[in-house]
Amino acid sequence: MIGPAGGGPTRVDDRVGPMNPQLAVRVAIVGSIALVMFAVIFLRLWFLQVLSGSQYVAQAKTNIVRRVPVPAPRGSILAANGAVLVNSVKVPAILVAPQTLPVPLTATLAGVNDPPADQRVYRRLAVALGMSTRPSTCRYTLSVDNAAGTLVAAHFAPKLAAIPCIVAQHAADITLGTITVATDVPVAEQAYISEHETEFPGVEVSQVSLSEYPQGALAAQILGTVGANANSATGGPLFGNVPAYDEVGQTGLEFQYNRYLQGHDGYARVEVNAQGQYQGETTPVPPTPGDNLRTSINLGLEQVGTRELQAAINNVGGNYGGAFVAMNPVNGQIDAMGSLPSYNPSIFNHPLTQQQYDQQFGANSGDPLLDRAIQSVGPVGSTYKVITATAALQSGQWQPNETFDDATGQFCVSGQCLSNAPGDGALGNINIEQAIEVSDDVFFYHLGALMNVQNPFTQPQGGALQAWSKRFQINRAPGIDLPYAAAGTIPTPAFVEDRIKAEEQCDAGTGPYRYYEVVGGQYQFSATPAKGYVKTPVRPQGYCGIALLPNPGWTVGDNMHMAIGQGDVQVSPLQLTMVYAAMANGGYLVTPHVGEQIETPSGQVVEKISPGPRTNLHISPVNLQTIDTGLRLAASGPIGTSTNVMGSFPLPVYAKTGTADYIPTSGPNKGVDTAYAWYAAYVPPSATSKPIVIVVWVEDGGYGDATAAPVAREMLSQWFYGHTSSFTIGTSAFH
Amino acid sequence: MSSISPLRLTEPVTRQRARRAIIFDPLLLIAAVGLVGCSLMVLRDMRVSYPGYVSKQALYAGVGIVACMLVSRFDYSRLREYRYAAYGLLVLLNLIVYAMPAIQNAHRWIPFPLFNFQSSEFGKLLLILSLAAVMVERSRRPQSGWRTTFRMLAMALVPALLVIGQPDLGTGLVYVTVGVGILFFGGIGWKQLAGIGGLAVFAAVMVIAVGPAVGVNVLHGYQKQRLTTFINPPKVCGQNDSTCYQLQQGLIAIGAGQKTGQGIKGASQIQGLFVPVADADFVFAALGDFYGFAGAALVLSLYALLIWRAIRIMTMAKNLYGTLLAGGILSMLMFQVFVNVGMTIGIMPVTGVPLPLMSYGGSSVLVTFLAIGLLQSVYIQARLASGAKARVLLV
Repeated sequence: MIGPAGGGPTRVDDRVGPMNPQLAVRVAIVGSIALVMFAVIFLRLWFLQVLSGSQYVAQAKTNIVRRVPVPAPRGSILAANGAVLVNSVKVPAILVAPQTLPVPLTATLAGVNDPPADQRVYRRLAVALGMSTRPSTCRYTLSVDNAAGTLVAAHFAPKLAAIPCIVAQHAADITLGTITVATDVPVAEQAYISEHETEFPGVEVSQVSLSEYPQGALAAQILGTVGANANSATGGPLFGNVPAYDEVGQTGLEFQYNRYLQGHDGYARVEVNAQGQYQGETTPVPPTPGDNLRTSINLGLEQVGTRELQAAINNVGGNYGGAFVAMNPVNGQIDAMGSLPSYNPSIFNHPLTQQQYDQQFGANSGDPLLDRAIQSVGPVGSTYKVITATAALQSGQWQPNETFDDATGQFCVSGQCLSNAPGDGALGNINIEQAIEVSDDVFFYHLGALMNVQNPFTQPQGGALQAWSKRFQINRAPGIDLPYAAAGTIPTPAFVEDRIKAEEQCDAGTGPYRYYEVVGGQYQFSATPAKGYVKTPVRPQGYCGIALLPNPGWTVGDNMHMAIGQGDVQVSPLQLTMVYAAMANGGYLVTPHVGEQIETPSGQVVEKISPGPRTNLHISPVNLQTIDTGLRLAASGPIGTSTNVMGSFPLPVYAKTGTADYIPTSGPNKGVDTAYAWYAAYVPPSATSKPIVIVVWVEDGGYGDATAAPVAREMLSQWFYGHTSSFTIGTSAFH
Repeated sequence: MSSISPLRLTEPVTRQRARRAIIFDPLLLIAAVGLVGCSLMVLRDMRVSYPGYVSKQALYAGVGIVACMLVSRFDYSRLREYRYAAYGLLVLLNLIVYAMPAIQNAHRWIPFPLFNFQSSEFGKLLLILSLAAVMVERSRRPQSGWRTTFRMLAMALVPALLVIGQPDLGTGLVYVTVGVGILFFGGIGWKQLAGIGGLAVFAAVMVIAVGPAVGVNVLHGYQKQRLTTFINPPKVCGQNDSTCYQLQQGLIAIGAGQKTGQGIKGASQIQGLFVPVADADFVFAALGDFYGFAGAALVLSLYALLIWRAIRIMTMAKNLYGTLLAGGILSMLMFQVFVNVGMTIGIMPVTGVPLPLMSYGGSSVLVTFLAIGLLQSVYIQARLASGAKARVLLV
């Protein structure tokens, strides 16, 4: 059946050989086309592969290599003697690598959109680690496409179990990195997960750096916290020069000295495929650990101060807070500083549920995150009298040897009468030194009245008392090397007028109070209409509670209250420390500082932190001597306010007690008439080679001598002799 | 051949039959087997990313080679009789797929267990068989050039449009090319050829430029994008511009191959799945990445050999039908090779045309081997018809 004789069409034309000149030409044409095409293809290939091949090799490399940052361990924060306050330690951890999950994680596939295959891994992992699988509210933010096609941050709050919640919370800023879901995992669980690798795709057992706090809650607010590099207000990074995925200092020294502590991230070069899935790794570039910060904190003093302050708080019921500051009055270095209640910052090493956070830092916690030593301002009571005395003497309105007859224990001016503290009777003829010794309120009311301006409208900034308060920089935030230090308040006629005007505008819904919005139970006002704001209605006089209406404005009574540190005057413990340091160092306002030097991890000094400048207040030596004498008498004189605490101390202590009436407008003691107990004491450089000024404040501590002074006494004892001493507190006749 | 029994035959007959049995074009076979061997090598190199492809392709190649040998044993001339049946089957097969479940959003396949039958691929052969036969018929009436042209074009365009609708623009264009090729080799006048050229330009302008302007979109957006992207490729591809991405990644893969290739492990563009469909339409990119200029040159040489043999066989055919069959197959092969390779190296539009014998795919490999079998049949018949003359032709 095969062959020329076989079947098939046998028409004549089939038998005719098809080749003819016409076909030959056409075959030649097609052959030429083929030749030209091959030539073009070869030339193009030569160009692509031989001439520009290396360029394409480079492109192929950038295609596959991703830099995965390896965060640098943070530097340590050390006490003055080198004791570790914060340390970065490597701990075993369970990590989720989003790209090697059964379904690789993307911003859209997280949280509520977790693929079932990933959810199964999370569930198995939770069981293996003993973590909760019960869903609870989980807040996270992802970048999503909006209708216009641009990426916007979207906030979610579904109910999720612990692990998917942690993953979702990190999905937005993790591309090829890892997400830590558990740390300090027992060896047995690490081993179980390592051995059952196939059951846990996307789960890694590794080590992560965590901050360790060997001293627990000690000085927590000074050290500060570490967290994601995101500014909650602007949404941008907190530190612009640090990648968004890095952890940075959020508060305290961690924030202030972040650029030293941060270190430089290393990176691993990870090879990926087109889907961004992990294919392998090349030699990593190790991170450079952050440098250490050596502080001026004296560990022993810090411990004693914290312990004694806690004891003092416990003595008055334990529901309140307090703070202490110990500073070198000559150069401003902070020897100890504390705020109670405190917390152990290691709590932030593990993700907190909202419930845990509320319990730790919520409304009834006493606000442990607040650094009361630098961030709280309030009336400081009689401790303010040194400023009053300085102002009176320096302005020439009182002479060092001038006497005043406190005949009745009461001082009246234009019908307003103010009395000495309860229990303090009439003291008769006294000079300013004696007035300081016994903290005679009537004497200082008199000074306040003397220094009051005749016409508050022509002198809106007040008189000598306001001028000297300003010179002591009560109205400015101290330049300490810690963030968010608060400025105090100096009451002036203008200040009172502004408050009255604000009350009137608020009640009438005008000026900056024209529109309002309620955020979290708090009123927010705006002068211009803004989104969410509504027009403020007209309300009865005095509705807003900024000032009483009708209000006579600035009166002599305001100045008298200010003279004894009451009323509207507000000072932070740190500011008061600076005031007393000036008394101790000959009249200089120092810049307080905690940081001493930057050291490499091996201890070499990288940089000495230069303390800020000190300002000469230009107080005449005679006047200063007069006040110092008064302060010395107050701590050691026969009728000194804290003689019964400090009188027996071997070194010359200069001190002043203070008790301030205060009604907090927020916090757990809102609306309760509270007596702030203050104590400011120093041992000047003339008496010792290690001068120190100490301020102690106990919220609702009652009389300063009874509650705050003993804390200072124990701190002085620790500072000079290295141990605390037992001593008996008597009851001073004067407060 | 079952009748062959050496014991019963006389010696001269045996010699004659034996010689006849080994008649085939060895160079054509070398080219085809060499190419499918290269395909298997490339697929084996990327077995991690495309697991199981190499063994399936080997199976298709084995079946294809057997089919090729079987087909080459038959006299192709008999197929002329079945021209209308072949054409009917062609249209039918390309209609059936529309009733089949879509695979990857396309109605191109008739699913069988183990194998998805791609109608349009087999249709290429059916079209060649039927068009060549019709052309032979029409060539007896040389005065009716325009009518022949129109009829042939219409016969090619109907299935072509069916295929383009599946959608498979590349194979549809193969149909048109085959139609024009057979007309060209069938001796249609230059006037008519010029007319076809004019029509092609007109159609292209209408479809790509005028049509969309008046709201008639013959091509899908992505198809148009594919056709035009290569002319002016953007430096940075748009997020949803998969054509641009494909082209760019393919170029990087080929370029990165340099002179001798990056080897199996080094070819990150392929192993990392950066080049889409590196197993099929972009297999030349994979070849370039693995074996560099050297490998690409070798494969191109095999294609040159294949095309040269097709041209040679066309010229030596014993009758016009053989010439036109070979001409149709030549048109198909040239179009696919140049368009596919040209697309991969960025000098041709992106059309989904497989690279014959190199691209992974059962239908494509099988059809190409059947076409080679037909070429062999034309060759064998020519040799048998012209006796000793063929030996001269061979060289």
